[in-house]
Amino acid sequence: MNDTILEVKGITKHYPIVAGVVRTKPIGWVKAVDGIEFSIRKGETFGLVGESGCGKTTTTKLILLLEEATEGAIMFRGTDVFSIGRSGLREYRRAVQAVFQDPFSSLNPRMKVRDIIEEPLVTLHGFSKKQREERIAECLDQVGLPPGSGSNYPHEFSGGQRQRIAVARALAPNPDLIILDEPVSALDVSVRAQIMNLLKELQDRFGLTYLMIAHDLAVVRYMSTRIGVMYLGKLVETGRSEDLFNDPLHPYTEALLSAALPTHPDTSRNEIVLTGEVPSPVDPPSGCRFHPRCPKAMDICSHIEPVLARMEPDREVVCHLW
Amino acid sequence: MFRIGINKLALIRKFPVNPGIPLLIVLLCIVMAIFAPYIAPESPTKQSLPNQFQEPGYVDKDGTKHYLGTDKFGRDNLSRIIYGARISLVVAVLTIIIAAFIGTLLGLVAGYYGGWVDSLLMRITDVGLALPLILVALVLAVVYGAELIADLIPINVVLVIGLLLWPRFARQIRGETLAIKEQDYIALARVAGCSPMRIMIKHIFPNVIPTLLVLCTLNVGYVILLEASLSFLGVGVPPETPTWGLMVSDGKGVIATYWWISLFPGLAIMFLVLSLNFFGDWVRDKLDPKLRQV
Repeated sequence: MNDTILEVKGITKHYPIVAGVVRTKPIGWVKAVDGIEFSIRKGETFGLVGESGCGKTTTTKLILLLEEATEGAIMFRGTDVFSIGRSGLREYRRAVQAVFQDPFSSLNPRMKVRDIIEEPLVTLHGFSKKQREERIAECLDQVGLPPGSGSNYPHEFSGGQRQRIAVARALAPNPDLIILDEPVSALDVSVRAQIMNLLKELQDRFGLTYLMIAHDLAVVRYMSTRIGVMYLGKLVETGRSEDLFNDPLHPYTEALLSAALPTHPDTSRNEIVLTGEVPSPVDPPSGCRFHPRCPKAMDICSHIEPVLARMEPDREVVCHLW
Repeated sequence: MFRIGINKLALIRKFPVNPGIPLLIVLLCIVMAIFAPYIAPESPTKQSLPNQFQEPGYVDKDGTKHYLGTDKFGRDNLSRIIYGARISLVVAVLTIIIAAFIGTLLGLVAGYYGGWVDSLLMRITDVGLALPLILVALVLAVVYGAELIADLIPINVVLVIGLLLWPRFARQIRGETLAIKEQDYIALARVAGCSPMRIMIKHIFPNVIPTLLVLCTLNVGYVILLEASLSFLGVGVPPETPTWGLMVSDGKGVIATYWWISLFPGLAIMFLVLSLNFFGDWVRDKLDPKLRQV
């Protein structure tokens, strides 16, 4: 077994839909994430893709302990993070950091860049003032910001630079795993490549592990070692990046990949156009959740939920075809 | 011609709020309050029966000119107005500090924690907002009596108004907190291991300061008016104290003949409150054009 750093075990998040004026009681549940399983190995980038509303971001919130899971467990280096004590939580917070999509809302406008980067050091490490100063300078340097930028406020920076600040902050407590929730999708195309290369470079340098969420398939392909495809709160397929792109097994993955623009305009492609809308996560379809839109749907799909099939050591798919 | 017309229209619609004059009046009142003993021509409590009910501009036997006349005890009206600024401003500042402190604290806690904490605190706030302020203040001030600390602080008035005013702050700060809480940097602060306390102090509080400032300036005028009303009704301060509200009240029986006793302190109240409101509006426009008034 190559060293698994994070293991997500059947995690579920259901949000109640409440009704009633005085006594609110749930009349239904939004099944945002419904029993997801995957594991991330040390040093890799695990990409999570899917349409908006499929539960990608909720998954990251659960891993970051920003939301409480309804069911399931998350194992970090073999310990269940839902039941670790105070000191365990502190260590987990140090080891798992995050970079979010919007670099404008992810930096407190009233804090100087220095204080933003310093914060995790204050709360998670017992560093002295001098050690913290050194670490801040180090982080600014590592993300390619001028040393003097610590005394400025976030609004004095451009979008790309702000995302660098966010990366520097995530880097500061010397984490093992960084959750990247659409790290480049809010940026100009010209800046995207810079940030992606920065992230890759940092990964090589510090042996970081990434869990990356994106809807841009080109970004995911460029960044990820392995990819998981989500549909309506479920993981439908996982596999190594090149395998998944070259030979998608699940009809949904196939359709998703075919919708992406080819890298060369002359490349011929057969776009699979899915009909209908994504069903509501409040009342997902019976059987396979994808069956109403699936071009390859069979009778069995509408009433029996497919089980996970392991194709190769690194290839899993949830579909009746396999 | 057409272009000039458009410009004029724009000018009327966006009436330029210039904080200069209001600010000047407020500063004048502050200076008056601080340096009252040096500015006032006479002691505000010095009685002189021969000088009762003299009109503005009257010069008494000692050669002192009473620019704004004298009241029924022969006290100099101008001096009493100058000293009156002290009570008004002290009450305003202390009350706002109390109300802002309690209101901000509860607003932050309610907004950040949400759930039953929020429900409980906001129902208490609702009760606070539903109380008829003057009536409650009147009752409490009567019950606890008029007491002046260091000849300057009508402690019961300050406490009563302060404790009745905080819901206005709590409500607004809570709303603001709810909006800020959803920002990504709050989630990231939690990821960075910040305690709820640290998040409220370091992340949310600095972002509600503009709102808080606006609330303070807008409510100062209201508090001064409230203090004047209580004084007018004869509660809160001992009868000999020079306060504007009490002076207006003193002159009300004889307003037809000795109009100056009530008029000048009334004008003082009006100008100060008006200036503070203009100033508050200006601060609000400067800091946050989206903010709505409660």
